[in-house]
Amino acid sequence: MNQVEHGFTNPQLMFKSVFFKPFISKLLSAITLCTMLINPSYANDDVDANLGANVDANVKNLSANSAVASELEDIKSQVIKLNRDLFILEEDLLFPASTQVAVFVSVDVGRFFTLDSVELKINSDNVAGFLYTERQRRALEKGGIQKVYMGNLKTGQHQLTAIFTGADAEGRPVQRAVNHEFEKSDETVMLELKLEDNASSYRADVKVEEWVL
Amino acid sequence: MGSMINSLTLVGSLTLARSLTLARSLTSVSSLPLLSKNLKSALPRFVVASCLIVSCSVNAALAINEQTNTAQIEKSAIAEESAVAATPEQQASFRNKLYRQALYYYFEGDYNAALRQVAFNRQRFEADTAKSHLFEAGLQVSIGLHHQATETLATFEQVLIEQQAKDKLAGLSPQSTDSTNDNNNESTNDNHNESNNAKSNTSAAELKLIALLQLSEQQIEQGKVTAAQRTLGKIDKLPASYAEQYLILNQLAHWPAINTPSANIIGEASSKFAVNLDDETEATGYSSLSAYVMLNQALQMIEVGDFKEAELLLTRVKNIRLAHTETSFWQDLFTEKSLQSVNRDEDSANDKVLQQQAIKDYAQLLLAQMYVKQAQYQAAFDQLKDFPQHSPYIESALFLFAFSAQQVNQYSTSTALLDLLTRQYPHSQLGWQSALLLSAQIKQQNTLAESLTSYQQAEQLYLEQLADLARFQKDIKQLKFATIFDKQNPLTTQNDSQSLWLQKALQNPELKNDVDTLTELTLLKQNLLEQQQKNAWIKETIELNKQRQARIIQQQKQTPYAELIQQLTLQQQQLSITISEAELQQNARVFANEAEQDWLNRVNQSHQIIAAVNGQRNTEDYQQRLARVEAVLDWKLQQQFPQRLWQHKKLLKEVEQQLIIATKQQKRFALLANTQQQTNPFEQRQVQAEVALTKVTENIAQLTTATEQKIQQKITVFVTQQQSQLQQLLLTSRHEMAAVLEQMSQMDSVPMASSAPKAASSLVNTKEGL
Repeated sequence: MNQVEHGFTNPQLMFKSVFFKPFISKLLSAITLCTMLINPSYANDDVDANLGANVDANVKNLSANSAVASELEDIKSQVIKLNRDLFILEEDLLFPASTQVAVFVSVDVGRFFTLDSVELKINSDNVAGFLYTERQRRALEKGGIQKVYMGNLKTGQHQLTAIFTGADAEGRPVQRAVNHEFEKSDETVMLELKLEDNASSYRADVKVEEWVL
Repeated sequence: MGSMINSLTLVGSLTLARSLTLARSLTSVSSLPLLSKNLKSALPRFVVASCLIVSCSVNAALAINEQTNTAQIEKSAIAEESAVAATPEQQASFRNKLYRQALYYYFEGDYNAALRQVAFNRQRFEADTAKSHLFEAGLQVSIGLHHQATETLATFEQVLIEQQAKDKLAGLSPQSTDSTNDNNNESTNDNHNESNNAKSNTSAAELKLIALLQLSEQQIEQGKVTAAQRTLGKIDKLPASYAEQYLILNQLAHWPAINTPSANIIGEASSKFAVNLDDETEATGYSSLSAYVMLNQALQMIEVGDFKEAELLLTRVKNIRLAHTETSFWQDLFTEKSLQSVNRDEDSANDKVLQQQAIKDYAQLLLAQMYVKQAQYQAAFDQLKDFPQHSPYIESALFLFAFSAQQVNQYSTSTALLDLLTRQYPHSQLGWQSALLLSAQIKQQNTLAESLTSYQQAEQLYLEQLADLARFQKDIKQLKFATIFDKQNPLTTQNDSQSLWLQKALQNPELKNDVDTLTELTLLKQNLLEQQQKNAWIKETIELNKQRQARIIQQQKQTPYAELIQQLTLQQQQLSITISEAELQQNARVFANEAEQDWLNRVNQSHQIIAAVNGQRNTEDYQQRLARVEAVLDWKLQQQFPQRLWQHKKLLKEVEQQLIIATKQQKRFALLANTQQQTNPFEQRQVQAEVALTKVTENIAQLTTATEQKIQQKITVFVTQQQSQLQQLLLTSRHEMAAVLEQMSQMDSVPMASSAPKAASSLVNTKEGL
């Protein structure tokens, strides 16, 4: 380990660039060469003699590391696949399409309403509630759609009530609510609650969109 | 007579009222008992009631059965139905919504969930878009699945072409398809400015360019340099916004070659990296990526010995104004996230400033190293005079500065710096070397006694470090790796001797890699444990459903289906005959209710009585009265005939429907009873998951053991190396001490002799000895 390498691995330095790793790997090899010439500790004959052996050892280590990395990747991918399979199995088992109803939340822009929480009622029964963290709110504002509720309903007419709590552009607490009648058929019902900024009224409105599968 | 007519009217109105009730209740299945009550010709009540019970319980059983049987069908059915129902725009919109669900998880920082959602969208809804492939590849990179990411990126191009063709056929504009439409969802800017609100469409060509760039990066990461060169060679032109990324990748793919084939960059970016800069370019500021390009160029120049050009470039990097780098959504996506960064919301502005400063510091250090390499010690000394105190490279810079200072005879500075290095970095090799360099300098400048003391201090330092190292080795063997390398473990963060050794050991990239592997394996193990619990819960749920199903089947076995169907068939036939007769003969009496039938019976009896007494008495008056009553009755029945005919037809329909349901249920129940004997698909899937879980758990255990052994070996090697270095330094210090003592004894014997020339040669020996 030479001094320059030490500098690069200092935990204070937090490289965030995508190019950090490839850049560093090439950079280090070049720096090592430069450092050998200036660091008195490397200025003996042993360095040249050991260099060849070190390269061989490095090649071996690299291939061993690559095998471990490959094995780890394989395990990771298996775990992710398992996770997905169990998720689908759970959903198939608990929420068959014939009874499934799902409610989503999305935010368009979010200038006039800073989302804090949402409460959901179906046929006057409280079915879900969600309190947003800063990061989750930002995820919605960046365009993410959150599945806030999934449940089972009989076929027929139902009523969904959603109450959004948050703050307006001036930071005053504010609530927005919406009622929506929908019919549950044999197919999955997916309802999106869209919190949209209304530029003309300088306030946010809640709209409900039923997804067409 | 009057009372009779009244009562008849009353019966008629009651019947009418009931008929109205009946008409309203016909819409509901539960009206069947009412029907049987109201209609004379209705079916026996028990048949209908049984039908209802059968219907309810079989439905319950079938609901479970349907869950099982239709689970597989649903996937394709939903897609098929939607394909029929939804327009291409609606399908594209739906796919986009599915994609945005995954996006939510990504922005939330749950990359596994995002990846799962992408796979789920693909499997369940066939939402297999080009953009989802690119997104998937990015997520795979985010969680370290580089090989898979390479494969995903390789297939991306094909999917993109297919999708473009599909969209063209469907008559969609590029903007309307989810494959090419990046709306404000992917903006990384938190400020709600106009540019954020506006839709920024990523064209198909741009998506392809992103994919090629990311693919080449993955290939470089995996050491497939030739493949990376080929991938980059596919890019013939690119917009200026991707120039820096492209140039860096091109440099790395062709390293150490300087003149590499390059794509045509559209815009002003290409001139930015020229060695000779103009003030105008300088004033606009550079991104961190530009600085990396220039640093790489400088390194290439140093390698080929072009120091003059390298000096110009490094000086430029050192002095340029680094502007805030705006990274795109895709660039962010393809960045591998560390555990720390996942848990943090955003990169703080402070980190960005630190990063920019670190780039400049590095350029400065490299410049100084280059000067030292050319024996321009004064230049190196001047270069490092104003090196920032809080730079991450401070230790290296200090050493280089001290060395340069020594070379240009700035002894007081070098003494202070070497002393500082020794005290501040007692675990560092530079610190150890500084102790000897300092002693040598003291020997050269001061008295032999002071020099001896200095060497003794150096010896003491090495002995202490050796003892400390032995303690560290002993302690590390006793602890479990999982607890040692836990991020929460104070051992990796505290500043005590043990953790400093550990931190130093972890500076070895291979060891660090192994430790990261171990940490990841521990996390995967925890995740698997959760999945095992979930799987056990699913197993229990399936078991409970099976029991419920079995109970219902048992109940159903007691229901006489054949008898029910037979009775329903009989009733259906009877009703059909009655209705056809009534329609054919227009005979309203067929539909008479109980009271009316009584009346009709009485009229018939009266006719018989009149016929019997005819001739004996004058019956004309009776006959007239009877005819009037009969006419009134017929009139009433005739009035209600269409209504009753409609009611009967309706009832016939209901009976037919019940018959169909009963027949279907009988068949489905038979099927259910048969499938009950077999393992259902849910159970199969659950068992498959269980087997896979066990297999992966075993793999993790094996890899954990192997990694732990590797770490143990590497730490042993590290300790041995450190011990060897310390031993060597200790030996050198003792040799020097012996030399000093010898000189002292010589001076004692020859009091007038000067020690200065010998001390000077001693410093040279020390340097060589190091």
